[in-house]
Amino acid sequence: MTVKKRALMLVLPTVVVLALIVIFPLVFSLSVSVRAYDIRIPEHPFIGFGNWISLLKNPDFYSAVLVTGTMILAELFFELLLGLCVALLLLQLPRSRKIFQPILLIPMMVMPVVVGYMGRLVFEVRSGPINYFLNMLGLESLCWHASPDLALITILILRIWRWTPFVMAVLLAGLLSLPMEPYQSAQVDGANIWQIFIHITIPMLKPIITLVVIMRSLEILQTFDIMYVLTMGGPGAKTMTLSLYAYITGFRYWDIGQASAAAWLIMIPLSIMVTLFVKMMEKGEKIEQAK
Amino acid sequence: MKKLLTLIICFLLVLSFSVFAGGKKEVAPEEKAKEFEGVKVSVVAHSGHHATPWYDEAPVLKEKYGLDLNVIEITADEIYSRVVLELTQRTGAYDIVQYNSAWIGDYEPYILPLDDYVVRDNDAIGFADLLPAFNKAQNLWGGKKVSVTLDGDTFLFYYRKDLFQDSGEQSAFKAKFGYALPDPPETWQQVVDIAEFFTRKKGEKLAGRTLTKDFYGYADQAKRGRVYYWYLFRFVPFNAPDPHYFDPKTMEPRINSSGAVAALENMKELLAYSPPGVLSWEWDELYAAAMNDGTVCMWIHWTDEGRGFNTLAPLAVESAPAPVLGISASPGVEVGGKVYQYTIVDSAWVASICKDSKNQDAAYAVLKHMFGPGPVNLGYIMDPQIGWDPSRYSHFNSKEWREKIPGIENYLELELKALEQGYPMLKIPGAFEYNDVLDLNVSKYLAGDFPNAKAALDVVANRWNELNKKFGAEKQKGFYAKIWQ
Repeated sequence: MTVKKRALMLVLPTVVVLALIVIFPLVFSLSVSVRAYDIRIPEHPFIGFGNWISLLKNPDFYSAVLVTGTMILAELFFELLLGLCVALLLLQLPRSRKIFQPILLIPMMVMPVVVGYMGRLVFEVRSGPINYFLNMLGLESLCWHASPDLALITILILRIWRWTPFVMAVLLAGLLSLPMEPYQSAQVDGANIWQIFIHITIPMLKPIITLVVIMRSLEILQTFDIMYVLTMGGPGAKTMTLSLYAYITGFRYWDIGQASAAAWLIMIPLSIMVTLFVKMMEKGEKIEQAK
Repeated sequence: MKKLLTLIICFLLVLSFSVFAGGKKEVAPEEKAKEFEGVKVSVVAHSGHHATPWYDEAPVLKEKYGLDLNVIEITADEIYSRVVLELTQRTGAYDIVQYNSAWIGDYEPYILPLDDYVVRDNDAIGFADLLPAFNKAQNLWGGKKVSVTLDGDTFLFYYRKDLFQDSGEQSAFKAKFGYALPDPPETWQQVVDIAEFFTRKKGEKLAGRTLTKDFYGYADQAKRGRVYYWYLFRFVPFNAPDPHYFDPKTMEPRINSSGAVAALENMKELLAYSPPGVLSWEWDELYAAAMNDGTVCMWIHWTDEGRGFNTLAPLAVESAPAPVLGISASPGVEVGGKVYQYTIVDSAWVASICKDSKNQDAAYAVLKHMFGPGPVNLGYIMDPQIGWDPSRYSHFNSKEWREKIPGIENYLELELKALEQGYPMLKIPGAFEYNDVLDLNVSKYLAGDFPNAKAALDVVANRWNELNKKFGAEKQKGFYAKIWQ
């Protein structure tokens, strides 16, 4: 057996496994997305881009895009801001860190469905503790997840509460791994805390922030559990995310063709977005290194 | 020759004796194997209290038939999807399935009609005992008996009779609206008037006492997912005297008719007299506010409140009068001097045997044991913790139940009366999707996403037309006709 053949034999199992668990489902879902595929109907005729066009004409799909986009922007902003603040605080408290860090990570360990049910109780309009405290402060009760205006904000509060510890943990790990020399040089040069933070900490944390942004964006795009339990996408479609939309289309209506098209419509821009973002960060790093 | 003949006769005699003796040994009762020894029957049940009777009866069925009952619990909102998946893929994983009777359009190809069993054992399961409202609307499909009702769930209108009986409130209502406070309310317009009249703030007077909490005239279970039921309670009477989801001849949706629009507007109008947060209310929230908190005047719900009439909390006022729950059929609409009231009867749970079941006879024996008329079934129906509601004459006429819970006869008789105007849900293939599309757009309208009710219902009508096209309009027409057969 030649070296080339031996190398091929060694790679083959990985290729086969990848083909089975990654490539086949992708190709299959693409083939389903161009057919009228409902498991209750025996025939699954080819309809070209029918499912895709139908989706792009559906205002509920755009509503789901808007909700998901809002969630990505709002969650990333608040989770990064809060996560970084808490991470910096814990960095300054090396002794207390061992106690506070595990406690702060508890929300992340709570199952999303439990978070949903907990939210239902905590934000209950008439007897929930949040409104109770608002009343104690002399404020009016709010309708929270029952209000068309506040439902998404309620979801965001729950999700930011759950995911900020994750962001904090990753950023803290990143901060702890940063080299000390640039800080010492900056101090010698007379830089203040803010300058050190902006010109040393943030640039050196960029790869970690990139990782967090990508991981969180992917998770937010896939999320539907809290909404499923708390609002079922309502009131109306105010909290209908793309994945909840795809789930309802695929597993409630059994319109697998349209659900697959929705999944592809989510995946294409996401892949582009992630690629561009990674390229952008790599470019930034190269510029920093050149400096 | 004679010898040979004698020998043959002797041989046959010995043989027949031995066969006879052997046969007799087989049928000896002490040694006879149980009818379904070693057979496993898998049943899909609505998780929680609905599943309890299945677990409780499993040892009894083992003792009686030798079979093992495997209970698979699935939450109410997942039953449809999971069962459809198993049935359409013909896995044979389930022998008995519990489902909402409105889903029969999708389940029909995979469900075993029970007519042959009924003929064979002279209706031991007691279809003749089931009220026509259930038997006709739920169990019969295209003239065949496809299921047996396990939970005679239906919707009733509830109101605070203690408040309606207050003479001060009666006079004030008459002075404001020019007609006597109707007890019970019969039309949706009356419900709007009464809801407006009784909606009051904490500290104001109600029935001559000071309110300790805000009090609301009316409440729906308006959370996205099942709010369409509360719309249909209005849609059907607002389209009287001939309400239809579709034109039976053309399958053109009637969900955006002028009556349908008026029904949705009525729903929104009543939101003004409903508790804050009602758009997120599911079963628990409505039940708790109405029954445990005493802050809702009128509402429509399943029969749980009727069965638990004696657990109604007093009104949220100082020195509250003794609580009294009023029960009635859902309000209607007056057309040409006649009030048309209907009770939606197709929201109930039924059980069927799957065509792909390998143990159909054993499954039928299980159904007969669980739901046939008799003390086993009645015991569960009488137990308020189980959630199975009465569906049979033998339930409604039960002397045992009436003696055990004084006052229950009022609920039983009022429900019987309400069921006289039973109206079926939409039961065609994809009914779940048709209803969910309606649900989404009703919810969007209530949340303010549409400028008016007509715009919301036009979207539903367009989607229903698309669904008709997807399933085949002619086929759907045939299924739609079956609803009324």
